[in-house]
Amino acid sequence: MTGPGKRRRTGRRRVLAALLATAAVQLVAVVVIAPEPAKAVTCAPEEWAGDYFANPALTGPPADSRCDGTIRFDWGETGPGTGGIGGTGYSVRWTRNALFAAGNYTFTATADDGIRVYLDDAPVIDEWRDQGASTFTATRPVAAGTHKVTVEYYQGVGGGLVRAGYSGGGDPGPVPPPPPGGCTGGCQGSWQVLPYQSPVRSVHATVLRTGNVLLVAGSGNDGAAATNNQFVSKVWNPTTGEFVDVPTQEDIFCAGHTQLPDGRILLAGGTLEYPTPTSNYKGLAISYIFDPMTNTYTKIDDMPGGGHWYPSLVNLGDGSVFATGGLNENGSGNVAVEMFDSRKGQWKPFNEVPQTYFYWGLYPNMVLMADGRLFYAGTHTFGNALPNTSGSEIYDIATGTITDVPGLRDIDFRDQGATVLLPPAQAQKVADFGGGNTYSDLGPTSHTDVIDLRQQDPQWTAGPDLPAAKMYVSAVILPDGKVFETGGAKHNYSEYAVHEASMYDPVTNTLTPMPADPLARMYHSESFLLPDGRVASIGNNPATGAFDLGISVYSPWYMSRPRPAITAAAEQFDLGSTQNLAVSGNIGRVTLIRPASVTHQSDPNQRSVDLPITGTGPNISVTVPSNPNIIPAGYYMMFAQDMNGVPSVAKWVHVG
Amino acid sequence: MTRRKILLSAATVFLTVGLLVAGLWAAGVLGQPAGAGDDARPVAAKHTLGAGNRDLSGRIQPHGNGRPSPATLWVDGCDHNYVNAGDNSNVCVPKVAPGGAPVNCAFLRKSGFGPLKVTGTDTKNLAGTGGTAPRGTTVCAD
Repeated sequence: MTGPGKRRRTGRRRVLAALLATAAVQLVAVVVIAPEPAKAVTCAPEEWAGDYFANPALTGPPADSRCDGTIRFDWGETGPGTGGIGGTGYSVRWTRNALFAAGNYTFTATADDGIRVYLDDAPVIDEWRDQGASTFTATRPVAAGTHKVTVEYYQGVGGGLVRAGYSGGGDPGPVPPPPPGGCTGGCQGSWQVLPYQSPVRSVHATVLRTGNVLLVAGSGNDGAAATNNQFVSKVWNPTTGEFVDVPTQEDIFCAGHTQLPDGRILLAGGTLEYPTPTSNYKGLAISYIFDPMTNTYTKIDDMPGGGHWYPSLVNLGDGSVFATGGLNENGSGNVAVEMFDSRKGQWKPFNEVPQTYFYWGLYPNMVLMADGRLFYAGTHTFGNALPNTSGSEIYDIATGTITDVPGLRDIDFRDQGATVLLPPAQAQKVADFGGGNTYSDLGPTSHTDVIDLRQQDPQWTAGPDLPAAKMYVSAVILPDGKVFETGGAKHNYSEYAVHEASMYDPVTNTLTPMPADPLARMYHSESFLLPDGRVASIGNNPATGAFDLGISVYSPWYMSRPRPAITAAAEQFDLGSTQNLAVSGNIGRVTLIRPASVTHQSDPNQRSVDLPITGTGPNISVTVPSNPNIIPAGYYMMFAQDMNGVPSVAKWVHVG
Repeated sequence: MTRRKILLSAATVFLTVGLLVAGLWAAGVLGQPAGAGDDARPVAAKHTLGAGNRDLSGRIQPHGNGRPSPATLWVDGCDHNYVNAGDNSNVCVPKVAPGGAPVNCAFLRKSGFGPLKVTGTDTKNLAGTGGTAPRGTTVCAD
C-alpha cells in the first residue's frame, strides 16, 4: 500500500498508539494515585457514618468514610469534596444505630437525584432515579429499642442535594425512682447577703468546671459604657470572694452562652447598638470562646446568619450547639438557625443548617428532648406568643418541622417566666413558672404549668400556683431532687418586687414556701447552683437604670446536716459506661447536674441526670446513660445523696 | 397565505411559547432545575390553634422566606426618647404603666426615676400639662 492509504493507516496506528499510551498512563495513574480504600469510621451514637463512593451505584470500596452530624448537603456541582469525588457520578451510604422509643416515626428525605431510606434494612423510601430536588416522607411504627437507619443517595449529573432525617428516636430510658429520704423538720434554709458586692453588672453568669463563676456585663445595659468601649467580665471565686478581671474586647452584653463539650464556654451574639428614639437594640454576630483554665477569651468566627441580640444556645447530643432568636444587626427579628460545630470549633455554613425561618423571639427557652428534638416551652424575654401559635412548640432539627404543643396557659404572659427540665432528665418533664408581659399594664401570672414529653402527643397541664404572681422568676435544680424558685417582680420597679421563694417537688407536684431573698431580683437577675449545694443570686436592674451589685446566697436545709461524700471517682465518664465510686454515707441516689450558664433567668441547658446505682456501702457503681440527648457532653457536678436525702458537695466529672 | 407568512407565523408562535415557558420557569411555576434547592427547603408546619393576643405588640409572624421578622420599635417595652439627665445613662420609661396609670412625672418619681433628658420626642408629655419638651430639655426635675 502506498500514498494516501498508507498515510491513513499510519495515522490510525498513531491514534491507536496515542490512545493506548493515554490508557496506560491513566492505568498507572489509577494504580499509583488512587486513594487507599477508606477505613471504616467509628461515629458518636447520634452521628451518621457515611461511606462515599466515586460511582453512582454504591459499588466497590468507598473512596472515603466520615462521620456526619446531619444529612443536609447542598453540594451543587462541586460535589462533597471528599475522597477525590467530583461533582457528578457519586453515591453515599449513611448508617446510624439509634435508640428509639415506641411510636410512629416520620422519615423525610429530599434529594437530587436518587434516594433510599431503610429501617432495619427494610425500605421506607425508595426513589432511586434521576430527578430534580424532590421531597418524600413516610411514616412507620417503630418498636422500642435500637434500630438501624440507612440512607442511600446518588448524584448523576447537574447539581447534587440531599437531606434526610426522621422525627423521633432516642429512648429516655426508664424513669428513675424518687430521691430517697427528705427533710422532715427545719426545712426552710436561710439566706445570707454577702458582705462584699460584685464589681461587675452580672447580666450573664456561668459556673465553670473550676468551681468559679464567669460574670459578664459587657457594657452592662449602660449605653455610656458601650460608647466608651468599656466592656467588663470577671471570674468570681465564691469560696474566697475574689474576683479576677477578664479582658473583654467587644460588647457581649446580651449574648447567648453555654458550656462546650470540652468545658470551655461559647458566647455568641451581643450588642451592636443601644436603642435610640427611632431604633431598636441591634445585635452582633460575634462569638467568643472562654477558657476557664486561663480566664481568657478567644475570638472565633461570626455566626453566618447575622447578628443576634438575645439568642438562646442549646447543647445537642452530637456535641454541636444550636443557636437561634434575637434581634439582628438592623434591629429586626433574626429568623436564622445557627449551628456550632464543636469539633471544628466553628459555625456551620448557613446552607448546611436546616432553616424554617420561624421567629423564635428573644432568649426563647428551648429544651433538648431525649429524641434530639427541641421543645420550646413558651417562656422568653420580652414580647408575647407568636400570633397563630399556641405559644409552645416542638422543633425537629433534622426535618425542619415545627409542631404546636397545646395547653400552656397565659401564653402572652410568659415573658421572663422560668422554664426548667425537671429532675431527673430521664422523666422528660418540663415546668414553666410564672411570667408577665412588659407591654401590658396587667400584672403577671402565678400559674405553673407542667408537661410530660414522654407522651406521644404531649400537652401542658396545670401545676400548683406560685404563692405570688411574678415575672423575672429563677428556677434552680437542687441536688436533693427539688427545684428552688426564687426572685421576681410584678413589674420592673422596686415597689413591685416580689420577695417570695418556694420549693417545687417534681414527685408530688407541689410548692412549699421558703424564705425569700432579702434583695430584690428583677430584670437582669440570675440564680444558680454552686458546687457546694448553695444557690447564689445576683443582679437586679430596675427600670430606673440602677443596678444592684449585691450578692445573696441561699443555703437549703441540707447545708446544716452532716454531708455524705464522694471520696473517689474517675474524671471521665463515657456514655453507657459503669463507674465505680468510693463514698461515705449510705448513698441512695447519684445525680449529675450540668453547671449553670444563665442570663435573664434563662438557662436552656440546665438539667439533672440520675445515675442508677448498684451496690451499697463505701463502694458503689453507677451507670451513665447511653443517650447523649439525655446527657450532652461536658463537665457535670456529681452529687451523691444519702438515704436521708442529704446530698454531698459536688465532684466534677467529664461526660461524653 | 404565502410560505413566508407561514414561516413568520410559526416563528412567532415558537417565540411566544418560548418566552412563556421561560417566564414560567423563571417564576418557579415549572419548578427549578436540578440542584436548585431553595424550593425544597422545609417549611414550618401550619399552625391550627388560636392566635395569641394581637393587642400586645411584640413578636410578629416572620415573612417565611428568610427575610428577618419585623420587630416592634423598642422591644424591651421602654420609650427610648429619654435618658437619665444626670449622666445620660439609659433608663426605661415604660410604654405603659402598671394598672393603666398615666406615665407622667408623678409616676416616674414614685418609681424611683430622677430628672430625665429628652433625646427624641417628648412622647409622654413630660414637659407638663398639654405640652411637649423640645429635644435636650430636662424634665421631671422637681
